[in-house]
Amino acid sequence: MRRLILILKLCFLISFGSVYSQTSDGIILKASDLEFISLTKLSDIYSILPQLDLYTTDGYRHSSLYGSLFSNAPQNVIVLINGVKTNFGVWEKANLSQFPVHPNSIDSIVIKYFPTIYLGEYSSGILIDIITNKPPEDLSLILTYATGNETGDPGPYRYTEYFSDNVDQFGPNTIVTSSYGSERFNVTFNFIDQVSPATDPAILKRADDFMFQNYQVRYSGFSINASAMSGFGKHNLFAAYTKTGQAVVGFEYGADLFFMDAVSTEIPYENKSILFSSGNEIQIDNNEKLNVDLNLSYTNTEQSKYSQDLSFNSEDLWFNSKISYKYSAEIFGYNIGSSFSYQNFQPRFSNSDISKNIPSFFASLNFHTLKNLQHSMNLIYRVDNNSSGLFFDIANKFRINETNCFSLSIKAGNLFNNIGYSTYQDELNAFITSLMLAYNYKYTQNTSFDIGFNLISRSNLTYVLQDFIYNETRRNIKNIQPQIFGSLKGIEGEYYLSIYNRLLNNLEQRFSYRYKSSLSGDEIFKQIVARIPQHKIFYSIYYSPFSDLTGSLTLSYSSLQKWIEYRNIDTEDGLYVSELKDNLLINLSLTKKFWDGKIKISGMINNLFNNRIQYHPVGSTFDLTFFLKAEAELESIFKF
Amino acid sequence: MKKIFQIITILLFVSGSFSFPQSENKLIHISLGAKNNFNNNDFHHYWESVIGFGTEFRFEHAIGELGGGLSIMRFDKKIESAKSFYGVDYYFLYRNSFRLVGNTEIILGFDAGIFEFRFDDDGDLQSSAEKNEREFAIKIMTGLSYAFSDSWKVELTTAYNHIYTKKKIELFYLNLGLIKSFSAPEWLKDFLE
Repeated sequence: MRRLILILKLCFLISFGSVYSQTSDGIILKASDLEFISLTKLSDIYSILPQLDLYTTDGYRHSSLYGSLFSNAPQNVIVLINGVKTNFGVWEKANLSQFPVHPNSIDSIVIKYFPTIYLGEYSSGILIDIITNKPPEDLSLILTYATGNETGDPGPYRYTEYFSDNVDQFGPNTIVTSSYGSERFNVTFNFIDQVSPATDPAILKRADDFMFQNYQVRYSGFSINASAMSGFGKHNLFAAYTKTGQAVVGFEYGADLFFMDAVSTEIPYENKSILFSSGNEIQIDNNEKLNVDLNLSYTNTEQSKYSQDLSFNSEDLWFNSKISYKYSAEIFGYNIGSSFSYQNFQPRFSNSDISKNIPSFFASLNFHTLKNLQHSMNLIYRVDNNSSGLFFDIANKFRINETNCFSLSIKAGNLFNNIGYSTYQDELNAFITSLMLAYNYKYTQNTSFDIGFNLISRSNLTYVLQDFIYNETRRNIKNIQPQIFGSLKGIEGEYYLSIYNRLLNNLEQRFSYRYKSSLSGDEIFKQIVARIPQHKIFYSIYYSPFSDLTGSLTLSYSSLQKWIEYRNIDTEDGLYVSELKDNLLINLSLTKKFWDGKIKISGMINNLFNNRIQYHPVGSTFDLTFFLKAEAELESIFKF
Repeated sequence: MKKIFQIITILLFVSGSFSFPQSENKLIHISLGAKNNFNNNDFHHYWESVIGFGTEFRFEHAIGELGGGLSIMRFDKKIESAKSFYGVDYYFLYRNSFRLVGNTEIILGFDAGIFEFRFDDDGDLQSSAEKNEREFAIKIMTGLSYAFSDSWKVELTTAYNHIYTKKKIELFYLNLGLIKSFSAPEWLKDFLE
């Protein structure tokens, strides 16, 4: 604690001697970005976010590459809606594909990908805040249907010596959204039904004990998103019920799959989840606001009814409340508040009952010392049963003139467990310090450059080094001799360059390059972070030649990834590998609008050059995949 | 070869979009034609094609013609273990044409869609899933069209069809078609815009 205060003092002094941060640790996706890439599920946004270091075993569920890396410092994905925390997810994993909102209902998505304090919430991993739009006036309806097919089926050769198994079919994904909008009250209802394949040989081969019913995952979700203006201020409510396993529509069953990193195996399960998130903004006067957030979530997870292993059953109840007072004036503002979380987690396999009370206190301060020099400071202090964690950031932004802007931010604190499933409940002593320097150059109104350099230091990390091998006879992954490493430390350096250019009114392109590498630290730390691709290149072009025709092309390059825990996994057939080769992924999307935009037909081709790409050392591979999406958006069809 | 076709596809979209000014959708075209598969490769060790038929619906857009098509072609097995099938091709299409001389135009086009293999059931298929296979397919085509009246055209085209099965299928076709053009009724024009 003394060390933390010392570092806090030093950082404070250093940062005030230099310049301020812009949001080099965050991205805002606009609704137009989502429209251009034509989402079939919400997690498709990851394809245009090269800044995020994620992994997936199947392209459907995504987790942070740092997520469960260090056992005392989980850095997972958390999802907020309209600034209010949701606790959406099963155990520590949030599957964004299953978040029950319609992509057309989204105004923007705020993504923070370094440890951050955002609206009084701390995130040690990736924070995603989905901001919904105001629905059109009166009654409106959106119907969306999407389906896809990965190439590589046997076709007519299935009845010849060239027989091969069928490969993945995606969907159908159906979303029905109806909304009512008025000046003071808006409400949107969503129903989502998804089918995701579970047919890849890489998964089936190592999970022989499990029955993947119908080789598909069935997911259904209902949600209501309402907002109202009252004499006190603005009120939002998001409520959702989601389930996997038995579909709401139709009779087919499809267990969901949970990839357990520690055993490198999917567990088939079904779950039911209910969540309420309410955000209330009470306007005291022109400068003062009071925010009151309430959030309740309950998730019941059960082993798939067709599976013999009953070790996954659990009930998870969360209650969060948060109150904050915000004062803002032209050159000065602050926000101060407190939150309280209660978690009751009952994993039935261990007959234990984990109850936690997690109070926290947070504060932020924003001010100008010069007209073009802004500063902000955020701090959060959290108590988690017997231990506590502190995190702060200081950011400074110096806008030299209209075209040049420098920023510097410093963050430091405990990487504490934000979700609550760590087995190292009493070890919240992992520590992170980061220094972020960014420069933005606005060449013209249509062209800008961002250059940045980040240094991230982590210490007091605990790592369990697994040694996975594939047992051909038993058809499972075996962990032969795990070793525990404590008190690890290491520094990673990151350099990035991004360019935005609007070439024409209807054509915009983006380029970004990212280099990331470990600079110093324990040898094992360097080997662990080798799973993070050193080089990432991304290019996108959005083009709308006519008002009824839009298209996008995205290119993503990712360099080699080495996974130390899979160092002995390589199989003769190449299905499992210890290293993921560098890959180039090109996606194309085209949308033709009919009837003045009321009907949209989209075709998307992912992996255009059909280069086989493997997601994860023991995960699926995918080839060229074709998607088709049809959408009817009928605005203000009925007036009350 | 495959990558060249893929790059051409992208260029067709991009270049077409740059080159043509916005104009209103006015005409719709309906075509009916016959097709013949004329190449010979690994695929033809197992199957031989019979003449096929197809129909297309196209509407004018500022970038060319857009629309959809359907064709069917019979493939008879040449070896006992294989299965005969009907190849049903559903696709979205893009066409662009340039005047050559008089009423003759050169046509360039691209199709993308699903190729369905509908197998003959000789009583040995256990489930409906075994009767059909589907796969993503693209076509790139070129040819000539001749307008012999204000609303009628005849076209002769050749097309390369790539079906993305695990063992890829490449077919070349010769198509002969008759096209009738109409002015789109107002309601259809409104819908297409």
